[in-house]
Amino acid sequence: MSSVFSKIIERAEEVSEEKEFDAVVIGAGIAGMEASLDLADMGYSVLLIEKEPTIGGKMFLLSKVFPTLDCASCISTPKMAAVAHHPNITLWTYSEVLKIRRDRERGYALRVMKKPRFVDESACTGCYTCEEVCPIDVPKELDFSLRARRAAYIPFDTAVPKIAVIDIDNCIFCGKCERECPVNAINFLQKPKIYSVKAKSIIVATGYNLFQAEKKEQYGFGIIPNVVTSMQMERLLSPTRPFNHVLRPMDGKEPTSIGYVLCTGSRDRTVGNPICSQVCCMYSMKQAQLILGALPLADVTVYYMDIRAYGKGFEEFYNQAQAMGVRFIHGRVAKVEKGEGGSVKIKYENIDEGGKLETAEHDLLVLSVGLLPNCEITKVFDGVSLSLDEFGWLLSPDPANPVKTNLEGVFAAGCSTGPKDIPDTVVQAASAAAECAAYLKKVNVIAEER
Amino acid sequence: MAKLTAQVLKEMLNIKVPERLAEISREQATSRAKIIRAIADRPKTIPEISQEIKMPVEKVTWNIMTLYRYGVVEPVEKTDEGYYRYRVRK
Repeated sequence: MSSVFSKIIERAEEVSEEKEFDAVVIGAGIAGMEASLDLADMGYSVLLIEKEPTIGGKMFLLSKVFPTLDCASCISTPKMAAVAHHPNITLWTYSEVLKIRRDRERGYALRVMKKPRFVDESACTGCYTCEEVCPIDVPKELDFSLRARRAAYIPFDTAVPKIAVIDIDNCIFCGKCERECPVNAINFLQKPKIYSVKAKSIIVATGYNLFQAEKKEQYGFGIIPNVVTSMQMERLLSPTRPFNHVLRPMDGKEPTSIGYVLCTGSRDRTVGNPICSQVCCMYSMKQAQLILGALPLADVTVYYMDIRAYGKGFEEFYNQAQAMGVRFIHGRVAKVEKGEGGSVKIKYENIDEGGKLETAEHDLLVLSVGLLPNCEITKVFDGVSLSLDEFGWLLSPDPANPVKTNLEGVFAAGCSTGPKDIPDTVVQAASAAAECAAYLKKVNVIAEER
Repeated sequence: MAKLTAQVLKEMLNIKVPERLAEISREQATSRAKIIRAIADRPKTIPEISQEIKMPVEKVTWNIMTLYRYGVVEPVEKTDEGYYRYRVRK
């Protein structure tokens, strides 16, 4: 059965006016925002395209960053505001790139669809009235289904732009939001709009996908209650957490014993991802320390293959976690089973004890999931192809210039080329912006000489 | 009074609201009414509510946390077993 949204898409209308920009940045996570701001500060016109209803990517969902334990949203929120208010940045949220074609004269020609929010963006004040009266609750994606959101909703309190959106596939067309909206902003007759955009350059900042923990069947995610992913744990630890405290999702109990299974879906050929995700060891140590801050009497045990604490201050952060009482057990978890009273029983190989098979029981088991490529964007290139490496990340063919792709004028920022932590992501985004600016200067000089 | 655009779109595209959504709406309203009634006289933990209204504990947690998000209930105290008791917000 076709979804309501697919019927809506059929109503898309072309916008005749063509838009022109120096650069199009695809993806408005921390990398896309950083690259956009840097280019815009240099005076270039930027179109920043985000497929979600808000910018911010995955960073604003995090509790804190490692190894400094700075608040993640305190870093990302000012950037989100800066992007929204920069005179050289045009921001299109809830928008998708449909096609990218090489244009000999002026760089690239893009077709971009702005999806309808069914809310007048210029009228909505973000007052939450539509959300309050909506009778439908569905799992909230941004909280990884730990709690509900309404079918009419604002993604989160500091969303940029703070404009409601109606999830039309979960709407019952009761009209309550439309009747109650104090500024008459709800309009179900909005249509998708397709824009033609010309850009001299493109920065791909599409980030990463998280490994789907269900695929590691022996860990029981989705079947055994109180087995959660590390991103769910991030949400539980965040100041904007879905619950009133760090609690088990099954029964709301404060956990006293928490286990972490590192390398869930990374360094694992059985799930098709043989590479290290680079951040899982460190974010697990960060979470372990935050848990001990929130639940001082809790026991936290980390089951690991190898600890990769390779960056500045990382080894000290590892030592700090141990000093705080986090137990590190060198061994792979082989099996996870449901225990008594909502607990989770695990069987693991203790390598430091000569490979002895041991068992343990935890109130909550956290699967530290790996990072996977998110390079669907390569499919929209028409006539030219954007190359991927053997693992599915964007290929950077020049090791001396990792932000360049195989296409002239197309640059890569952040995790589009491989897993990275936040500082490396920001550095690479700034580098992509600098390379892009140099390229724009060159093409502008050539154009002037003609 | 002008017709709601929600109704206009529904008729124009001949949209049939899936029964599952209507069911979700009914079911949620019923479950939440039961939960709110259960804690109307005194605050209770999620397992206590689950036992009283014979609703799976996961479902009570889901609903309590959603009610908490929308400001309908609030935690008041923690038991020695590590469960919070929730009450209807005044």
